[in-house]
Amino acid sequence: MSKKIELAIYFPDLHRLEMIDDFLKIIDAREIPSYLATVMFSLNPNNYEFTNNLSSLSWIQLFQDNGMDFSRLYFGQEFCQNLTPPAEEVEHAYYFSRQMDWDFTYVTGGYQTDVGISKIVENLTRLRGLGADDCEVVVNDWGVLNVIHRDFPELKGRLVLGRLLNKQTRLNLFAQPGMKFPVHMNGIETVEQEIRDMQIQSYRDVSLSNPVYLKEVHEWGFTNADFDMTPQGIYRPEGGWDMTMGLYYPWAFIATARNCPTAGLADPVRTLMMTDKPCGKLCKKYNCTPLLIQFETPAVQRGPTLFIYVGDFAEHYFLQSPNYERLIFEPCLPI
Amino acid sequence: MFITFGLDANDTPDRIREYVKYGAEEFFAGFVPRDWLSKYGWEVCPNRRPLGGGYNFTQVSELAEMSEAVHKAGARLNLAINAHDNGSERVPYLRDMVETMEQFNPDGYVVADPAIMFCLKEWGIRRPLHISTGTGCFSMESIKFFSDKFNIRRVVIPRKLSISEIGRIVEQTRGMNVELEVMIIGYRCYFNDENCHSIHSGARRNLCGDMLLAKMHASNRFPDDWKDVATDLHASGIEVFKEGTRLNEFARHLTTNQMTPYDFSVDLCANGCGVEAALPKTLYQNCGLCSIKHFRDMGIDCLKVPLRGATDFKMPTLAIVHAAMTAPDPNPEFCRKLINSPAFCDARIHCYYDVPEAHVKRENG
Repeated sequence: MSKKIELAIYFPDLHRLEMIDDFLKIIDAREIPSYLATVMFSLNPNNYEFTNNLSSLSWIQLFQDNGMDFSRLYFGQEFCQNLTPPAEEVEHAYYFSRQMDWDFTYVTGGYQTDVGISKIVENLTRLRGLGADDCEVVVNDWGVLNVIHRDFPELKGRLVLGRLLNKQTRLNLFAQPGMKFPVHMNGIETVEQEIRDMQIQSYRDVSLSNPVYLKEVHEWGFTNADFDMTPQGIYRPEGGWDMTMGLYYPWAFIATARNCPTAGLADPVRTLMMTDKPCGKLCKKYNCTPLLIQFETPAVQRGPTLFIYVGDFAEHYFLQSPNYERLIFEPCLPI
Repeated sequence: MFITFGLDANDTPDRIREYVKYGAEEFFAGFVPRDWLSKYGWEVCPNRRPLGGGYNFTQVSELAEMSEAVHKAGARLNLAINAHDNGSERVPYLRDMVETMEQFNPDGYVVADPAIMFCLKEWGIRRPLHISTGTGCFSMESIKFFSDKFNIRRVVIPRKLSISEIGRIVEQTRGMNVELEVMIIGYRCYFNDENCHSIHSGARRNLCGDMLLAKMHASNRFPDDWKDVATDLHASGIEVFKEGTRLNEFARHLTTNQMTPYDFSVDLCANGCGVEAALPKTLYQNCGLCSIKHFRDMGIDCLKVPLRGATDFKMPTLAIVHAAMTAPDPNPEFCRKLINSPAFCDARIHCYYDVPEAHVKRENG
């Protein structure tokens, strides 16, 4: 691998950042007797988070053996505005990155109400107060971008187009090249396989490759774009959008929402609806995952977000000549 | 307040006139040209109705007839090009599609992808835009972001906001000359529309339907020291199968204070009066009639009744939304009578929005 890849590590809150050594500790799952593995991991899909941490670390170790090491901290909450870390945590995380001599990226959340945006503004203000004039900000919400343009213009040129604003098709099921997934052929005369191939090609292509849009994205101050790994891959034109590209590993999200089955454990009304009651944040204690049998690798849900482990097809990204500049390692589900 | 109503190829001019009688002042529809279908099939859809022929117009002649019928009936027609993401290769096809649609003088376009908003501008299209729920405008700030750049007539507010959160947006956008639209009935998506990146197809099972049927597992997350536990176990061997060991503590942690997730698949119990819940559940799926009064009072402009592709369900659904919208006081009691299924209304999972007063009396009594 000759191209230099930046290795980042992503934590959604301070508690888990403080556990970084535990998250990066490598134990060989094959050394654990199977009867003990059965007790620990069982077949509960919620536990895949932990077994997959072990599997993904083996790739990270390989990168590190090849001279790459973490040089950037991603910190913040993408998926739930109730979990946006307070300014004190952002400050701690920033100082942590300084101590490690790492660059710092503050990750802001998607689907923010004005209440959620005000918390993000507090955090951006704190970072400005700390003189964090080289820190990057991941933007996942149009309202947040509006506020940044108006109130934090100095961030232009240090913005990352987040994966919640990149609407790439992510449902890994049915998107695997070579797989004969069912296609609705009603009223279509084209050969089925041609349609299938064309759909895969379409799922690779993203709006960012549209030159009319790309020009605006550059003008908005974005210099990086982050994506999830998908089995179909991502078509990146020559010139790479004139932006660096980051890939999250090993968790991609398929779908997310403001309604939350985990919050709904204590308040069934919240399961499908938004209420004005404060959230009990049960996601800090529980995973609540649907058993979706059609997935070969079970999806895991934390809070409102359904994640898929990308280990089954990440090799494709890792073994080929890299077409990305940054790998964002998620040692835990980022909620 | 008025209704915007989804049309598809099964709608005839007669039906359109009927819809207008029931308060539909405005319609929206999608068009998928034949050459698009031959290349991409149904699943890659320019307007997020990828389930097959019943959901869209595919013939220019049908689109022309429908457009004429709508305008003759004195209503407006907006065309949806609201796919979340549109790869660059599809853009020339979209441009051809827009040029075809332009012949019929649509009153506006419903768009989700900012890339397409910029393309429309580039192509010289000056018609007003409706920001689709697929864009995800959850705040006044996000509405401002788009209204500063485009000719925005309306914003469709995402479904998963509370009524008071919507009220705040209404308050904050007064004076911005932007209409606000809310969804009110029909399937409301398990996840947030704008943040669901799954593939939908009429030929296979879809993620959202499976989510409602899937058994949910809730369990404690592993304790922070789980790797140490695993390492210790390895060292200790079979001795760990005893009380007081770390393995025992670990297993106890996983099973302590277990919680039971809501089971959506459970059939509702009938209580002997009104229509059995299974019927309105099939017909309406999710219902927000009780929230219409709140929306009317706060100044929401438009109610969206989607139902593209659900031909038989359209008229009864439109009729009850119209009845609630035009009633002087569409309180929960009034709306429940319209549905006439206490078991359906009592199960809050059917509610589109949380309207506590719709349930207080019954829960207390």
